[in-house]
Amino acid sequence: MKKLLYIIVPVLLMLPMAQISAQNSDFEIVKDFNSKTELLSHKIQNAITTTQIQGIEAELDSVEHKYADHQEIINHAIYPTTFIDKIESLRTNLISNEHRLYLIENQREQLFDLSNQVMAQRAEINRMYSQVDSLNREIELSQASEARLSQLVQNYRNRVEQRDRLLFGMIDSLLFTHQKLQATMSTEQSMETYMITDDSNPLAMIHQIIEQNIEATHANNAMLLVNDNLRMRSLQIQFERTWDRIKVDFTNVYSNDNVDWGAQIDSALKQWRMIASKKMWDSVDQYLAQNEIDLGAFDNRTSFYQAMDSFISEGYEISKDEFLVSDSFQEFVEFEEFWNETFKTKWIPKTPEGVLLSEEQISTIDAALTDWEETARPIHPMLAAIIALAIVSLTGFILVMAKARQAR
Amino acid sequence: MKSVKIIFLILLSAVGFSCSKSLVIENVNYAQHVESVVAPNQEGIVDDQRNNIRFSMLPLLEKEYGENSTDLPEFVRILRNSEGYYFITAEDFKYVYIFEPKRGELKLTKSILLAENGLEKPALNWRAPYIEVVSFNSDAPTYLDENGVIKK
Repeated sequence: MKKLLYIIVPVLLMLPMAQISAQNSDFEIVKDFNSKTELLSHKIQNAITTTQIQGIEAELDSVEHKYADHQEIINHAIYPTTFIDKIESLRTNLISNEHRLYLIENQREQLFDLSNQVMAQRAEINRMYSQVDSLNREIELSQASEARLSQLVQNYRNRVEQRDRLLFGMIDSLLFTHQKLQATMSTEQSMETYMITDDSNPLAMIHQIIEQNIEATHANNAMLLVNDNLRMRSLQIQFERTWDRIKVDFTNVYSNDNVDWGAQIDSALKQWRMIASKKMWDSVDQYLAQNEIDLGAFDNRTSFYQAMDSFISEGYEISKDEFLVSDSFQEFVEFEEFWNETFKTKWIPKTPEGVLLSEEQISTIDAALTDWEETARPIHPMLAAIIALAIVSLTGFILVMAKARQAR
Repeated sequence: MKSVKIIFLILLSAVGFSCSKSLVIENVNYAQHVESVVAPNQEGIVDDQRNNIRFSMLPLLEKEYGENSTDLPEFVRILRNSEGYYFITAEDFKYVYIFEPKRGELKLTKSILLAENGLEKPALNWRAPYIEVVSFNSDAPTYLDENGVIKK
């Protein structure tokens, strides 16, 4: 062991000497400088945290300090570049990369916040779903009084509404976080790809929420009114619009080699859209049937508009053939009440623009209704009586005049 | 008439003399600031592309190691001083060779013996107006110019 020490210690002592001696060669100085700056450049390119960048900055300072005395010889060797150019170029790259990494780290923190938010909201939404389910079961099993049943139905509708409010809130926070993320990115930068496990992956959560909504929308029974179905359809539309805005960035950020979340969410959203739309139009149809307005069959905006347009045109044609009596006027009144009191006042404000009817279609129906009213409105009975009296009086006068002429 | 001919010849030769006088640029500095470290190829050709010089190492090997030597060094170190002389050495060489460049040739002017057992990790540095030779053989550098070792 001692012998080994006798060998190792002198060798170790000689190493710095060798270093010093090697440093006496200008060629070696230049070679070392080049290899160190190349290594630093490589490190700057490959740094993944700002802490690493700070370490590299210290190394760069050290290199600059160490070789500053040799810059004349280095300038000759690396001409046309210079020592200062090379150090400054490295420092510029370092600052630029540090800025980029700072943004990425900032994004990462925000993404974690988003994951946490979504997880918290998902827990609350799940709690709501289970409440709604249990109320639904209770209603189905309930043999209690009508008053109790009515109370249960009211509770059920309230819970569904609360659940939807939570979902709206979640959509808003997704969008808000996305906007914050975009604000931290410059135009030429894209978000860092961020591998995340399925448990906390917002994409997986979004997909699960959509699936739950598909199930919930499917399960909706007759207890839900048009307003509930309109709200659920609005929720679906808002979800879809939000997804369209965040899709590219979120799928880039929360990549997962095993699952194509983008395609899965697109497909689930399509299914949700179809079901929510069908439920909405079914409930509108049901409402009209209950109010004895027979528009015929419709299952989308176009067919709904055509059905209303046909209904008004037919009423208008019938009204044109009526004179003193107007049976179609009652039909007009009922429809006009639905149109102004319910459709335009209660339904339209609750749905995104163009879901039930477009602005243009609403204006067209308004104009057609005005025409129908003018045609269908019956003549006032007093006016009819006055006209009849006038006709009778005129006839009587003519007869009297004729008789007087014959008498002469 | 004869005197006219003589004057004419004198003028002609004066014109001819003035035309044949060559232009000389003085105080040219040929100094290369950092040595070239070049690996010779298998045929012993050293090609320093940065400084545009290409020559065969074989005569130098013969001088260093004796006839028919093919023991090529891994790298050859070349440095030119301000006068334009080339200083050449390599690992395990005993000498630093000083060459004067001629038309299409390098003419050996001096061989400076620096290590009987061969230089260990030699390097040539330009320390105007001298060439500094450093190696592991000696803590003190040796300074050379085209005339040989300089005592400092």
